[in-house]
Amino acid sequence: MSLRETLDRNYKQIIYLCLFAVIAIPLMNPIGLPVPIDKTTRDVYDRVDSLQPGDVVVMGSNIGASIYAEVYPQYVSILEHLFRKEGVKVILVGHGTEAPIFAEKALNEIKAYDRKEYGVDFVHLGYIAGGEAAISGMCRDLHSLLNVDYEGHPLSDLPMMEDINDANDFTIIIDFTASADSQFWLNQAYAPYGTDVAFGLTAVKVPDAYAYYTAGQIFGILESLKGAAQYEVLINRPGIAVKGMDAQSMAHLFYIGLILICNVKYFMGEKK
Amino acid sequence: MFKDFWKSTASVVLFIVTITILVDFAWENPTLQTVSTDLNNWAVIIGAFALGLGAYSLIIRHSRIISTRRTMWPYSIVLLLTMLIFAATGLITGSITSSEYGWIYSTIIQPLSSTLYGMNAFFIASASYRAFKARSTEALLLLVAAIFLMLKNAPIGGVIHPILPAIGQTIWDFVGATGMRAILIGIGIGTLALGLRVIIGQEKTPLGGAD
Repeated sequence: MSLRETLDRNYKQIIYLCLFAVIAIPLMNPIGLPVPIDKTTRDVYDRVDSLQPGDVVVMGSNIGASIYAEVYPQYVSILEHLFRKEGVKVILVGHGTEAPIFAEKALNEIKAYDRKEYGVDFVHLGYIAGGEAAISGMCRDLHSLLNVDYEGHPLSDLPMMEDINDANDFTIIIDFTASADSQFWLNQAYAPYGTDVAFGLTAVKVPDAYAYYTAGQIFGILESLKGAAQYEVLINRPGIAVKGMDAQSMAHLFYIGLILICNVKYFMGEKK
Repeated sequence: MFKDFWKSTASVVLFIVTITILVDFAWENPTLQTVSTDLNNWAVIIGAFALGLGAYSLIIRHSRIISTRRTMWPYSIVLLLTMLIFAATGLITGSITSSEYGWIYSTIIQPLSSTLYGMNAFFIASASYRAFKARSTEALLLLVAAIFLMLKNAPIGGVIHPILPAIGQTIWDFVGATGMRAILIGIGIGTLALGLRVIIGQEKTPLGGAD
């Protein structure tokens, strides 16, 4: 069997092996490519940075294991930025069953419980079932929907929750997801109450959110791992996302190379 | 007979509930707001109840598969055992953030789930080689747009030449966003039409299907 026949027969294995190398090598030995900042990310950063003491930020999330790599780094970066702001109140809420696990993981990663006081500076409400109805309930009357937080503490015992009743009391909402639930915040918080909303999304979800961004209905988007890397650069806390951008760059180049080879072969007489 | 009675009663209830929620959106009235909030909270409770119903349905279905030894029945045992272990760990430790629960999740579920999602990258690579051929003008346009968008989405594009991500951004702004907005408006109109059909009782699917 000739080399060409071997390559043709085992092309999938060769492609998989090359892709593995193209991703793994930059992850282990980062190249250090510059990370340009997109306007969508800059807008989120500027809005978070302009928050004043007493402002309330809702961090909605539907992070699960499958989207962990893309969205979790965004979540941690924004949380870190919020925790650097004095007097800003943070409410974490999940509308996916796995979300509370990642919310707690992020809180521990940034040492939230050592840096700020639970119940005074931040609250974790946990998972609320019901999809859009749950988000609507939060925006209408939070206390009639929920009596306790994630750990079962009565909301009435948490000082920061005394003055937070509905979406009028939320300064901004940032939702992290890969599904249609980001839209729920637009329907239930932005449309009736005018509360500012931004999204942290996986790459496949960005195109439809971008239509809302250009229409001015959301104030910013963190676009997948790229958005996370840009935010890490902006808050000067480079992490896994910045490392991942080198791997992503190489993988994209590899894909482009494959497309070109495919078309060269096609036009060189293999049209059949 | 009962089915007809149920459908007409449900249609009336559905009409009243949807009109209440709609009017509350447009008109500020404290009584209406209380009723509307209560209705909304009921929906949340039903959503939570549906989770339990889903778990029950899953247990029954897979128990049947095991008892009748249907194809791939051992996987049903794995599923039920996993459910049992997760539920027991959560109940015993009292929290899904306990270290035991976290260990199961982060050492089994998370790597498996991330691996499945990550495998897409390999399939896309293989598909890039096999399928992305410029067989027509439309396919060529799609290919060229895809290449510029990939170079826009990775820092390497700007490193090669600043014009590459700029072209990608232009395609993104003027072609991608415009097309997506048209699709979203279409979805919005479709949703509105469906909502109206439900309100006036023409759409029977939410009530258990059409006759």
